[in-house]
Amino acid sequence: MRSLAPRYVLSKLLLQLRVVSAVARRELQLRAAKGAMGVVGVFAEPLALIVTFLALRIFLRGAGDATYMNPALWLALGFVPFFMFAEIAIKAIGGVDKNSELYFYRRLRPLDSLMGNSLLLGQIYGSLLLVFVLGSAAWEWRPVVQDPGALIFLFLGLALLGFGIGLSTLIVGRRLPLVAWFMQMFLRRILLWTSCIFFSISFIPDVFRPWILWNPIAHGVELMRAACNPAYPIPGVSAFYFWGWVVGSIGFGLLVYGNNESLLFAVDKSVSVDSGVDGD
Amino acid sequence: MIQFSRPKFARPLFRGEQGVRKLAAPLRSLVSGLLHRTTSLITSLRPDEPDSEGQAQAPGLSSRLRDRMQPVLRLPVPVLLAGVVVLGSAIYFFGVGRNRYQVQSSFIVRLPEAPATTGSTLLGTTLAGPTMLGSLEDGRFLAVYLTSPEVMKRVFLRLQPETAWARNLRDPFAGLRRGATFDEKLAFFRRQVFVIPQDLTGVINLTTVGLSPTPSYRLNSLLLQEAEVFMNRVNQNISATQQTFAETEVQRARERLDKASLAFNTFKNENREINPSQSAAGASNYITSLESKLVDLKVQEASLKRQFKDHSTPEVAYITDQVDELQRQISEERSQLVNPEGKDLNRIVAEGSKLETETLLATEALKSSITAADNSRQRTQQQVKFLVRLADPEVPQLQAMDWRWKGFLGTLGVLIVLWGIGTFALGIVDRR
Repeated sequence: MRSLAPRYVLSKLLLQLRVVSAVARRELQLRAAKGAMGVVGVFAEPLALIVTFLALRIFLRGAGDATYMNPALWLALGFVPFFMFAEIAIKAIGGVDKNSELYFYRRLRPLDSLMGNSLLLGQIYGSLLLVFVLGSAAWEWRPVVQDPGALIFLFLGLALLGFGIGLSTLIVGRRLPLVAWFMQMFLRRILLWTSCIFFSISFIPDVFRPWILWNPIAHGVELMRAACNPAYPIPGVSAFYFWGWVVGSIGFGLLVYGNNESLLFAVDKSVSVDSGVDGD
Repeated sequence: MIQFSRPKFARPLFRGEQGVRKLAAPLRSLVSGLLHRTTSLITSLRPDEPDSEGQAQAPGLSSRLRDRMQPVLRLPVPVLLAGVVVLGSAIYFFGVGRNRYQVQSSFIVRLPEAPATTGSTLLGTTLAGPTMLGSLEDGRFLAVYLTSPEVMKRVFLRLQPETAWARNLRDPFAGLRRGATFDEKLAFFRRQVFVIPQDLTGVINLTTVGLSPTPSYRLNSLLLQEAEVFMNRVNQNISATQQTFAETEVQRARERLDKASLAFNTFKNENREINPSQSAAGASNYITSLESKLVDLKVQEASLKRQFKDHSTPEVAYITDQVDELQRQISEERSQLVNPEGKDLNRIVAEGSKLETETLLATEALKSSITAADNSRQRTQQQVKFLVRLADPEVPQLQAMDWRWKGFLGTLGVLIVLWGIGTFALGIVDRR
């Protein structure tokens, strides 16, 4: 069967990869042109944000327990993936309208635009995390990641989770704008405090831990820390739960996208999710 | 047939692709050349069947192989290189890589009885706290100790690692090379032993890795024994040091007591007193009784003086003489009691008291040091901490697969990072 031949599938995948890369590059150039610091700002702005949070956390409350890993790396392993997740999800919710002129090209679909955005954000935040990992390794002069494969795939998993949740919210939000508004608020505010960014899951009392463990990002963040040091305690954290959320959110997102793609072509300017308007 | 080459109008995969392609052109020609030579060799070894009776000759093996490889060679060079790396990684981690066998055991360090400080409390969960923290602390010490050079010499080298963990030709990366230096052995040993204390429970997990089941199991068992010996040896060493100190203190206290007793006895001999305090008390009681008697006589004298008009009558004079004599006697006794020329009891009592106190203090010090020495002696002989095995090591039947997946996924992850960061960096560099 021609459509399932490996060569055909591979060629299509490579083509898709090129399209997504091109969208990501376009987005990078747009960001560079828009920002005050040019291309440096693309990297420096999120870095400045994360460093500010790190400094606040360290100066106000101390860096935390340095038994298992460098405190700066521990904090970065919370901040960087979370901000990447939130950015990808929020961009996915509101990013389709911005790229609507691209859909003039038949090959380009809204999904490609979302994937391009997610790829660029993954690259930016991945570079940031790499800086922190390499910086910590240079500071301590020893490898700081015991299981790099797990760390990388968990990072990608968090990016996919953000993409899946953003895609699902985008489609559902077209029909119920309140959902999009609520999700944006939820992603920025509630999840920030329940994703084990400022604290370790082992510090949470047994009574409250199950509530925190509903949050899949907390699982991802703590698993990433455990990938750096297997001795890092992660009571109740489950990789199965985390990957279940990743696969579920992507699957649900693609399912609803497949059935509602036409909604995204008919751009309704009155429903601008990015501006936080909850619809008419 | 589906053409697998990239369409001409397709944009390059990344900005620097043209440059990379130029650089990779010699590589591509080298691969093609090698392929051509290989297929030529195969063709020469197995020549095609000669056609008979003018039939068209079937395509040769080389051309068939070349045809089959064409789609692969037309792939973009970065994809080709990534494919080679992934394939190589898969071959190594799932084919060539030697089996690893993991043995895990778990234990906790407990005192013979709960510390008295824990007591009964309303907070039930805090009851286990000190014991758990103690075990955790011991676990952290053990994590350092069990991977120390001393333990390696005592345990690992006993298992003959150059044989049990020897490298072979099949997998040149696994195992310890023959003639490895001490540092290489230590580094290798540290890669085979993982001591992980659990923060919340205090349970200590000990994992050992081996290239065959038995050495891994033996290493785990020996390390468990070493851990048990270590904990008690440390405490017993501390107690032994304390015992030596306590015995020295006993000797010192005994000498002090001897000296104090001797000084006190000498003092008493010199003053011809058995007990200066008692002598002083006796003298004081004697004067008091005289004074009491004097008071009685004075009362009697006053009474007689009222009865007799003439105070020189024998009845009155007799009592008066007694009063005078008693007063003189009291005065004389008093002066003798405190006079340095007399008994000088004040000085004797003061000095005697000082010497007696010194003797008493020396006696108490001797008692305390004897008790401490006895306790230390007992502690050097008893087992202070117990290593409670929660999970005993077992000889593994199946190989551990996690390292294979970790290695393979690590390679994939590194490729993804290289691609992601590389295209991002090239996108920045080549922006227009």
